[in-house]
Amino acid sequence: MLRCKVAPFIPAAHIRQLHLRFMKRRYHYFLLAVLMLLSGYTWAQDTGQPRLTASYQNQPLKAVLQDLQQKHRLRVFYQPDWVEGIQVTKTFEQEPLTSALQKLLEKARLSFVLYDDHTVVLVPLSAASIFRSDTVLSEAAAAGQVAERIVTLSGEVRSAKTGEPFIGATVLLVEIGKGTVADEQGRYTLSVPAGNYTLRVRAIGMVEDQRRVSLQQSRTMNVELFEVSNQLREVEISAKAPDHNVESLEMGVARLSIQEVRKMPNFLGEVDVLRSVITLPGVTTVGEGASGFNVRGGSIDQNLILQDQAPLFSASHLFGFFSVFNPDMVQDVTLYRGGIPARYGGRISSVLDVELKEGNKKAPILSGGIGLLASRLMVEAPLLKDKASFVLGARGAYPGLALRYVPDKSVRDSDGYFYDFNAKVDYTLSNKDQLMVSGYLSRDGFRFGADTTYTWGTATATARWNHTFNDKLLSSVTGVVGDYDYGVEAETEPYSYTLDSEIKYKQIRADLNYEPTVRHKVGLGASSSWYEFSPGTLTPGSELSSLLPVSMPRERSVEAALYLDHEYTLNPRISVSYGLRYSSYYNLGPGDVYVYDPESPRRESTIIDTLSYSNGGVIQQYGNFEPRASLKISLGENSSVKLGYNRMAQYIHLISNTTAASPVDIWKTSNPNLRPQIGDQVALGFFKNLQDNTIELSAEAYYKKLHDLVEYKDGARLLLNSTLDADLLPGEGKAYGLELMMRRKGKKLTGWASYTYSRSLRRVNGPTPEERINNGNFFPANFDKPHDLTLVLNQQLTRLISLSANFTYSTGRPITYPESVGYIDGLLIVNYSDRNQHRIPDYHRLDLAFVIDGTNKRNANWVSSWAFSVYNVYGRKNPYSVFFKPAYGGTIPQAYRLSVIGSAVPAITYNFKITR
Amino acid sequence: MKRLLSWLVTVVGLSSNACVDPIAIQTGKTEPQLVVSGLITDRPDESLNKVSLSWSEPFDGESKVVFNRPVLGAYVKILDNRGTGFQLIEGERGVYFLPQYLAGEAGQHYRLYIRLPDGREYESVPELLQPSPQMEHVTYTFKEFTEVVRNGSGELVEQTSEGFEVYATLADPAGTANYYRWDATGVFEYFSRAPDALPIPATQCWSFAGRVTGRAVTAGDRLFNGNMHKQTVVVLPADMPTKYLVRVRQYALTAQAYEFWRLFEQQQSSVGSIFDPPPAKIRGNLYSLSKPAEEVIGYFGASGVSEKGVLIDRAVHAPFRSGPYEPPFVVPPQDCRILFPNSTAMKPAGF
Repeated sequence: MLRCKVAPFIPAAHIRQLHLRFMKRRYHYFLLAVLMLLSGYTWAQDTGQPRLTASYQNQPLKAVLQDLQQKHRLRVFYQPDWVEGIQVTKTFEQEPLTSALQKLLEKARLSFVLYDDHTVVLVPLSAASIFRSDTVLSEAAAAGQVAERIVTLSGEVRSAKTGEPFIGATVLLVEIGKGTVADEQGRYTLSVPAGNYTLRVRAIGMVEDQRRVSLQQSRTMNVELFEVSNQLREVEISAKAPDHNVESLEMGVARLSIQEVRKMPNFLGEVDVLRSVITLPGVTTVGEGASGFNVRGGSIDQNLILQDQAPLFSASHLFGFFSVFNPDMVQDVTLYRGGIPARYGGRISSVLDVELKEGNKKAPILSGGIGLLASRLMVEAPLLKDKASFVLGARGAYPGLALRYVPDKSVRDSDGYFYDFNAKVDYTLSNKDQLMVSGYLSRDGFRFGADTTYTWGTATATARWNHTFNDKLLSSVTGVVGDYDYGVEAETEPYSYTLDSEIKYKQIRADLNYEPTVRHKVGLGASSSWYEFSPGTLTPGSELSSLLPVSMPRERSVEAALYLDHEYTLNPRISVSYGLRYSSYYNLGPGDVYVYDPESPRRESTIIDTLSYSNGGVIQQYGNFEPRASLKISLGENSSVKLGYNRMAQYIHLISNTTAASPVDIWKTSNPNLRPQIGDQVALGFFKNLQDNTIELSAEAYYKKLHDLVEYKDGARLLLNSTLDADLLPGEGKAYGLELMMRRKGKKLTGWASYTYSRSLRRVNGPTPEERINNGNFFPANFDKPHDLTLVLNQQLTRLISLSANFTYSTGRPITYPESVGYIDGLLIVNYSDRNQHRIPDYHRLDLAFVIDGTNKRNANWVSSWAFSVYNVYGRKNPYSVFFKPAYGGTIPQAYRLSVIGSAVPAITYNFKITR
Repeated sequence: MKRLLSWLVTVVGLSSNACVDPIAIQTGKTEPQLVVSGLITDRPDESLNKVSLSWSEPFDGESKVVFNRPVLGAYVKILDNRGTGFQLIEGERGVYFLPQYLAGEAGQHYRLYIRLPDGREYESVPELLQPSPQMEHVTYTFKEFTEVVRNGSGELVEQTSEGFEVYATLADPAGTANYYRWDATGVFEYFSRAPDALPIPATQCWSFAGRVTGRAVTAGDRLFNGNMHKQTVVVLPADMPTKYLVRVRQYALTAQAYEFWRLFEQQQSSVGSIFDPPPAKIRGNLYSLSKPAEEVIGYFGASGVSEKGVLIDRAVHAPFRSGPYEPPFVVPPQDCRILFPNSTAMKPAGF
């Protein structure tokens, strides 16, 4: 009875139920282990499985399996070469399916897993043997007698094919339910009582790895995972999701793997990280073509966007239609919209951390894609086998092709382009040291007609050194240099000019991770950033130009920070994490600072003094303590409640009073007249997983208070304004919301549905009417969209074909409408209401995508796919804005809505990957 | 930045995707507000030194027409900084003007005082009258203009038209900050045909077209201080191959007045792209003495004025795209003066 050979996989739910009891009543361990196996056996017997009556004479196993599939409505998954050349001769008379299968597969050295009554997954016997009941049983018995002695298991999770690390792979010791997540280098560390365990490693898109580990002393174990697509594609349907969302302390954190991003319908066939991020709850945008995104009621400059830890000042190409992230290069995307760890700082709304992949350490790979507007190519290869590798990626866009078909001469004369390059080299110096160097270079440009040219570009470089002192102490040192420059050039005389702006920055940081015991995790680190802003230099284009050269003074600042945090598991039900970050900011000379008369509103005319500072002199210092805390309480098996608080400070600001920021807006650093922005957030969340963690439910509520936001006087002038401080007003803000989300994973139909109710309000209440907006009352921010509903679904139709759909609905954004009209000097003047008192019509859109993979061969050298997509399927003319055309003939101006995308936009993309 | 948007629109314009449609909106009703449009200049000209008072029309009103609802019977006074007041004379339809022999003086501050028949009182912030530098010359070029319009079947098509673009060139004084506003008036010549019978009626006429600038035209010298500046003022139609006399007036503005006119110009040219600053209230320099919370729309300005004209011989560039011009036939005893308003058969000065 106990030798349960035919059902080697024990349903996870059973295991988990038993865990709880193990914790409570360890002395019943042995007995329960027996029960567990009994229950597994019972399950295999009693679920009304089909019975077989058939006779096979020297038939190929493949044909037999096909016969079974047809006659018994079974779905059998396997790799064709496992059954190749195997003939079977068997006769069954009312044989239960399990034993019949067992007999059929004996010769092929295959075992199987019954996923459900009609789904059978074949497994090579070698892999299945570790689950054999007798071993499990004896070891479980042995483990029960071992005294509690803490040992450490550590190692790396990598891709078997490419050698790349798996960030976010979950590593679990099944018996005690203790797990962790692999870090940025794919490393994991677990401290547990000595014993024999089952180690289970999972990552999205990879075949789960499950192995026995004898942990009598500390040891390392590296795990290599195989891609699902190169093996049994449909095993994915049985890969169970980790219960990370319930068990971890994180809240307000969303991770997207690039595999998930790829499956979503996309605009013009371009896989895009930012567009995917916008589908997450709490993330909105003001409209199509708007660069940047808004998180939980924050403005777009309040998001810290990191690419391989290098901060980026512009995240968009071609005004938001493409993001700066090359999808082929991206490994992993994490958005922190709440519960921001103490190691991040400098922006008050969110952190978007994008980690790029490492090059393949085993074999060279060439991949790329060809689309309607842009194409990309990537090459990766080992430099030293298993030790060092590089990856190079390039993209380029050619919108000029599309521009030729536009019925507007000035547009036809226009041209645009962007290109970007990524390069990354990583080198494993020793078991304990790893070095990574990553670089990024991009350039955007476009010209209107034959006259005005806009350009901008980013260059960043990151170097990181990871060192492992021992199993408990890891360190990492990172250096970043970056440069973001942008400009406008006009050629028409006598007003030819070039206007250039630039931000240069450098950053160095060191982080230490210390995990002394199972229940404690300590993080400690320091960072320092240098900024130099050139907010605008106007140069006449030629001697014919009547413009004067203007140069706005440079602004310099240093931002230093120190943080410490501690994650402490009080007991299996309650864990807390708390941390403190101290940031210290210096606005440095040389520079002149205007002192405004404190009694009257700031204007050029109320400057009472000008203070001059020498090179390196401290013009202004600000310091802020930024506490962070979170608490998790498990409510039962699969649910938990979490509570979090964080305070963030921001010292650099985007100065833009248009609805959507343009890539050539000014950035400014804090000074005596421009205080740092501070954001406080409290959040409460409830998390529950159902059906073996394949369904995740969450509800998160937050409340934020924002201080010293940057607002603008009506009609403020921002460009080349030496008294810009006088056109800015300090504002306060509050934002609150409830985010509900349901996510389904690990089935043929995956995706999520989310609904968010949120508000984002601002108030500017200065001492004089000029320094107030809307009489000092709260008014909705430009991106305040109370209702937001998003559905993202992906249906795997067959092994090679998948269909996905996106639907999104949101309330129209606020706008200021006219209230009355009159005549001034014979011209019609429109008198507007208070700021943002009306709304543009609601936004909704459906997108569909259809992806066909061109090959199903295992280890094919040439893998290709076609992606067909339709954006805005029912052609809704979503208003981007509403404006009023000056009327002629004395009529009230007519309201017009402007839709950037007013019909369905189809696209096709071809992707390929060549391996040797 | 509005061209940014048109470009944007184009990037996705694979199938003329972007579009502009009229929509109906509800903006809520408001009480009529006092609208003041007032100016005092350094030239004794009653068509310049005047104040127009009217009531605003609610945007959501029943009729879609903006009636000029004049304020009649008000007491309107311009005060200088010595406290001297000049009462304005009420003319037609809410216009109050300074007698022909009076004018402002450069270097003086002026403010406006208004008392409505119902007793409500309003006042403006004092404005400094600054002289306007002379314009060097007024020039023009004959140009083609291409714009995209939607044709009858809803497709976007290019439409090319012709016109005479008129420029004012001035030498900006160095040192001081200067702000300007321009407008233009036009007089054009035209012809008619008449039967060969005596007495021969007039077949050559001139029509005074009034102010031909359809929008506010402003500039500040922040970026060209002390240099020559060439400003586009107006585009005149290329319809008849006749002479056109255009007179450009240049007004010197204070910084506050420039702010008002600049925002007004911005309001007129905004196309609602997200790269335009969101529309906002334009605050003038008038306030209510009786009820401080009451909003007054408009501006009372004080400007030095300079004027220069140019005679455009449009026949040089004919025939025009709009087709050959055929003078209409006028049956006596009528003559060409019935064809256009404000016309005369006496050759005006400048022709």
